[in-house]
Amino acid sequence: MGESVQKTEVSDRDYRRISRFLFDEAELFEDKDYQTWLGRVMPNISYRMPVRGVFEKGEQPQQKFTNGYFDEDFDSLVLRTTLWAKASTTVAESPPSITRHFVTNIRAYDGEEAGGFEVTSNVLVFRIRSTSTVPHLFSCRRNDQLCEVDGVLRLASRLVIMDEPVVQSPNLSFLV
Amino acid sequence: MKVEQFNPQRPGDLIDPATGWVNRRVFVDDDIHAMELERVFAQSWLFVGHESEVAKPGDYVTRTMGDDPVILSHSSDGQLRVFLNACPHRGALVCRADAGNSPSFICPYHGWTFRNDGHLHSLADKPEAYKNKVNFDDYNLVQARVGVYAGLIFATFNEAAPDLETHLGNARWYIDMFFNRTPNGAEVLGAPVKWVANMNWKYGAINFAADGPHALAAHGPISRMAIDMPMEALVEIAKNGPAVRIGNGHGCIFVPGPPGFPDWTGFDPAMVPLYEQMLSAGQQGLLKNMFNGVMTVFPNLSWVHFPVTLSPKKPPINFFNMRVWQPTSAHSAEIWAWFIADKESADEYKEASLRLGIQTFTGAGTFDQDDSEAWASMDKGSRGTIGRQRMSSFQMILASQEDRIADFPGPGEAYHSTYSEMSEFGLLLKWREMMQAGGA
Repeated sequence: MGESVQKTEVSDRDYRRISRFLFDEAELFEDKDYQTWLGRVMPNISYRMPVRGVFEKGEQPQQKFTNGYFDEDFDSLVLRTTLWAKASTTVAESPPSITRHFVTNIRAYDGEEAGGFEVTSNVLVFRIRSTSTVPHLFSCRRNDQLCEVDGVLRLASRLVIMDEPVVQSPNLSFLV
Repeated sequence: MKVEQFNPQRPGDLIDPATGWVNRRVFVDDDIHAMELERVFAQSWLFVGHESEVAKPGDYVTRTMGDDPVILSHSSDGQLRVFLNACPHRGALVCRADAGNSPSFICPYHGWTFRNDGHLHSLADKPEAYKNKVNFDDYNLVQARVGVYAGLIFATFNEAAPDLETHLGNARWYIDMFFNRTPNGAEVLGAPVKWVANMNWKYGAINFAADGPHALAAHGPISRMAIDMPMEALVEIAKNGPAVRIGNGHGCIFVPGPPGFPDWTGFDPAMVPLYEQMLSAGQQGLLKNMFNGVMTVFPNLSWVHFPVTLSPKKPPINFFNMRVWQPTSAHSAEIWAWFIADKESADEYKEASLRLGIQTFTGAGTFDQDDSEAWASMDKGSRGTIGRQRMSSFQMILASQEDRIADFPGPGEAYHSTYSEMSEFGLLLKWREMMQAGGA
């Protein structure tokens, strides 16, 4: 057994607040209301989705650099979401794709710093693009850091652990 | 215009070199796809990996050549080898991981074991059980020919193919500008990302051979945001950028910087003296004023390299994306994409270059996300009963083929514009030649 730090589960009240934050966020993604979403993230946010693969014993060989699909800061998220929010600005989302976000398996713990929370959740995205009515299902686990600023929850960092070594969709022009 | 009839054994006839018309069956027909796997992919040198991916003895990565799974192995004796990933006994994969380090590969069915140089090490029973009636020399992993140029590892199962140097030919001069421009050469930044495009592989290979005018049509808004240049200036430089029909189906374009564009924009300044040491005057001249360089090595290895920024607070720097277009069906291709950097560059520059690459040229990239929908649209519009009888146009060649650049510093045929369709069509002409020859 490795050394593991005992995490403290959040109170029922905080669990409800955190769940609601994640459900609201899913709805904002579905509605492509990225402007409102950006108002709920920290200005120093890190949003990453590294590459996945299949390895012996499940262990990826050590690598100095990590490739991936997203490695974002606030500015690049603003740019990306500006493209998606206005349907006329990107071929990828014009017409907009239809997405439904299913958020489950939410676990929430007190973070290391006061007012911070460590939250994990599973997400399944059902998505239809304009060129194909066959849905693409995107499955992932999210490791989030939330923090409370002036009594309001905000997303401080998100690590998206995707489940497809080969993404079966031509693009990922959405957030999870 | 449409093709009334064609001889299925002569699919090259679907491309008319004189007029630039290409029948859309070339891009959507299942029979032609089966044929191109035999006549193009099984005959050509194919990219399987970069030396930096298998740096240590025992390192391996699993890859695809055409529709065949292969293992690229840095054998314990130091040799790079490529094997068909299939047990000689019954054909099962002997390696099912993407990458790793191992002295051997073990078949999951009967436990037959192969050293990482491909030799049979042990089988289910003792060899004596075969009572000397079997020649075990036939039971090593099937090996491909391997060639390395500028750290790029290629392989082919075709014993009759000319050597790699001949296949690359004049492309080596251009490859050097990207992969061989510092004494230690290039390295990959992490493992490849992989995603499926709903299109024939050739749409991607041609697009990177390369297509100038799509850039501002498909990527107009992101170009305005990520590139610090007025739209009119971007159109102007794209129209004035040379397109090179390199030969053997290889093609590239260079979009130069606009007037006043500082030399070596987006490059790591610390690397410039090394470029000056390694490259010829002609190569340096192209590279230091290069805004955008895009190239395809026939048939399915491509790269794109240009400076971007996704933040008003940060200056643009170059990302360098390399990819293969794996043919998975007439209507689908897997895109495997790596990011590349000069080995000598500082980690900070590599990190920043990788991050911009991820943000622009992957399945979630702000540029790639548009291409994939445009390409899927071409597949959708071309694959119907009526649609596949129609022709795709490369007729800009009619206006461009006399428009050679007389004093271009690089080898091959250089034409005046990335809008010329000359280098794109060059790839199809090589494809035509191989498809026709295979049927003879």
